[in-house]
Amino acid sequence: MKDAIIAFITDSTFFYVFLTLITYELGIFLKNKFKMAIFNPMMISILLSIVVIVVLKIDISKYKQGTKFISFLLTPATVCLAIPLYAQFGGIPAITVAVIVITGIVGNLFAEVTLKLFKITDPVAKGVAIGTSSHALGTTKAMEIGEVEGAMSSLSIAVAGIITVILFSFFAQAL
Amino acid sequence: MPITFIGPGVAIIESMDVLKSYWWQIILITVLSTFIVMIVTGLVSQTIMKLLHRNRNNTINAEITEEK
Repeated sequence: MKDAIIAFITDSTFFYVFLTLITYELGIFLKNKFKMAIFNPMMISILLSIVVIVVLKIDISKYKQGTKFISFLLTPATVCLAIPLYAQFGGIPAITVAVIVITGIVGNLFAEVTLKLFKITDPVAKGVAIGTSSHALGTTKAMEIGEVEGAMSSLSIAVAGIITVILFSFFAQAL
Repeated sequence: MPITFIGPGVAIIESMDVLKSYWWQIILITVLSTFIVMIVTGLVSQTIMKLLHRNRNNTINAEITEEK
């Protein structure tokens, strides 16, 4: 009976959307309550979702299928830049995803302290630094710091992405 | 926007076998390169912004002097 209920819940597409949203909301609640950067909503959501998947022994392909509606908006931005590189040079998708998540979290957690430490005070410079190094996750932090920082950070993601694709192709052939 | 990264983030467990072998190297390289890019980009951008401000001020001062 218990297994049947778990199977019924985990077979539903909405369960995974619900799981993602509820864990993210919990992360926002914890961040607002404790006001500590370590309570990053995305990190908390990823960790809690992994715990649920492992405990309930859910097939990861079901989770991916269920959350594709949430990740849908991410696809155009990443795919249009990453596909030409994959097609030309290959790569391990798991490492790419891990690096994206780590970079974003590091930027989100330490951007403000790092910029202060190196006396980077110009709003444009702050935004460019955060957007270039930590993509959209850093941009959420840049938006918290200020409007100019957030705008510059968003712009930097696109510019840095295009430049990376062009320069990587060039350097990969040259080296 | 961060919510869109949760799906791919959770999907990391699918490739744990690959990541297990290199996890500390991946973390070290990623963290270091993130800090280096952030610091270098910030310092270079700040220097360029200062130079632009200085040039703009010089131009304005020159125009005021000419008008006088």
